[in-house]
Amino acid sequence: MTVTDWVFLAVAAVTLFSAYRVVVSRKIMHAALWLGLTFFGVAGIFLLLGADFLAAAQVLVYVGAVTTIIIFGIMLSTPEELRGPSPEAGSDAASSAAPTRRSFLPLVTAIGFAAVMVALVNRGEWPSPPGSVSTDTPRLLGEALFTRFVIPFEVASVVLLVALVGAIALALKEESGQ
Amino acid sequence: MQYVLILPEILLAGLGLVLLGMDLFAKSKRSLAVAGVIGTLATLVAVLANFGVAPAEIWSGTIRVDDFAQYFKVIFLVILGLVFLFSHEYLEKRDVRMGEFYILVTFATLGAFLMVSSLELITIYLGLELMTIASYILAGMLRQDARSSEASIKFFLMGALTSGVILYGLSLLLGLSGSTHLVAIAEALATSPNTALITAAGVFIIAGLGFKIAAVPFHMWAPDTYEGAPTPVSAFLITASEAAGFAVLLRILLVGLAPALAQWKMVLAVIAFVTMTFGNVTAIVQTRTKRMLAYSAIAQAGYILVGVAVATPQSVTAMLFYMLAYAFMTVGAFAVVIMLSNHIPSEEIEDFKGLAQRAPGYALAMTLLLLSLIGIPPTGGFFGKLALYRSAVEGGMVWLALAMVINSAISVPYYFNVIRNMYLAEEAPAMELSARTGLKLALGIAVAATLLLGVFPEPLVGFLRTIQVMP
Repeated sequence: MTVTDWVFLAVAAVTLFSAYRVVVSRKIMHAALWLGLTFFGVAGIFLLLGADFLAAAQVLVYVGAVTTIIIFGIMLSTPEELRGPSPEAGSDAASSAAPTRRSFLPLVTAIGFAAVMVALVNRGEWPSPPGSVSTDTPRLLGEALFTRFVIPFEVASVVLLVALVGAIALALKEESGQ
Repeated sequence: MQYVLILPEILLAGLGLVLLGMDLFAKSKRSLAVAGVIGTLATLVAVLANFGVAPAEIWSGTIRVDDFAQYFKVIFLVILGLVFLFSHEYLEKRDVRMGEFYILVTFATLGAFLMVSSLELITIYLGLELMTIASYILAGMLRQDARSSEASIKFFLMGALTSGVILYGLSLLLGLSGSTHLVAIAEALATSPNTALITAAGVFIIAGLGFKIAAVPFHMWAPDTYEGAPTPVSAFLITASEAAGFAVLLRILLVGLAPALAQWKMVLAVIAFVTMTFGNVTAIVQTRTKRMLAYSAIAQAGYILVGVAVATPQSVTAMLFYMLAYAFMTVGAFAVVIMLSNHIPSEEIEDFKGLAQRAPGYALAMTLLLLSLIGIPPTGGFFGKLALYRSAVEGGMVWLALAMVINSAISVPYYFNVIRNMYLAEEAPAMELSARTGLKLALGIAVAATLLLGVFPEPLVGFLRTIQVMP
């Protein structure tokens, strides 16, 4: 194995472990911070694949903006809103099954799925050798976005507009007396 | 020329933006609905003008204009227009934000447009996301109603998961073929030795799209979402969103995965059989109108899926016909449900009691639409089902055709339960039932079209025979 392979394994392990912690963390703040680490890990994988611009964008957008906004959201919510109704209402059976459901099942599912996919991918013959990307990725991306994929690019802006309108429609408090 | 060919998309996006601007200034939100109807009609004209043009791949192959796409666009526009017509009073009574509702439903339709008018996976995926993201929000717009929030959350969680599943399948296709264009993918897959991986990609894509069309066993979100969402949104999701899912399924299976199609036919046939049977059997025991219609929608998705499973030119023609008839009859039935729930908010099937005495016109219209949903002549639903049935027999899937007949029989009790309540039930609470012109117009259009498709199906069928899914 080359050095790159080892680095990849390390980055992948960090990514997967932090993703797992996102799912099983009991405190939502912890989950948000683990999510930030997951995004960092994904950026590292982009970097290893030679997609330097994507890695930078991943850090800027996901770590810098998305995680921060999630944390803002948590800080601006009241504890009652975060915790929901008190757990006493639930039955004992549900709460004793919770640890298994939260930590064990996702692990088994993920490992099983990964095993199947690794077996399949190893048996496959992939047409182009991976990892040979040009160094000038921002220029290539820009060219592709504004020539060949200009329509999908425009559609993405409509998707963002819809998300904006929708966020306001769902979050804005009703003005009283109307 | 490129601009003429994507004029429908441009007009619809423009309509969304105009509504966004109007929402700021318009005093009466009713003007938004009127503008919406006008915009829909303008887009419809643009779509109809493009019928019969030679199929063209424009914008470096990211948009494809052909009659298959135009036909689906007509279906979406019919639904959008009817939604604009019949929603106003309901939204007003339930205190839904009207501006945002009209904007989002327009952009959701734009997403459906892009899903059908492309062979490029990136455009298809972005269209799918545009449609579903708008739908998540639409489903949660009854903010005083916990069931609406539940509908939205369930829909969102399942939708986000399935989008991931679809993307995973698409990424496998890209890796195996080196292209995101379905034609190039088909060429590469035809000679590819990786049958196991192609099968895996197919599993992910079919499972993911199965969620979107609410096929069993991927339906768990559907009854709650269709029941909890605002009723006009349920109508939109059950018809437009489902039709778009079927269009993409047809394109991916018959174009991109064409080399591996044979292995999927039996799987799809089993899914179709399970879907229609589950939907019909569960619908029988429902007491709430929208939940009953939700399970009925799952069953109907099963019938339409027969067309995909048989996968012959005849079955595709039958499917296309049935989807238009289905749009009219379902949206029409929802128009009656909306009229009734504007007066009686409970939305139980019991509410239909004595409707024949109080409002004979609506009762008659509802009866016709329900007969069409069962598949009884002289309605469009009958002819569409007959065509699907015949295509299944001719395509060598006699057992599936038989299952369709048995299922139609199973579906009779719950549809007739509504009719019985309307005509035979004794007690009828005295109440003035009225509706705005828009809703009456929408219902009239739906009933007339359902009858027309049943009595004179030949011209449309003749035209549909010329439609090619394959490039």
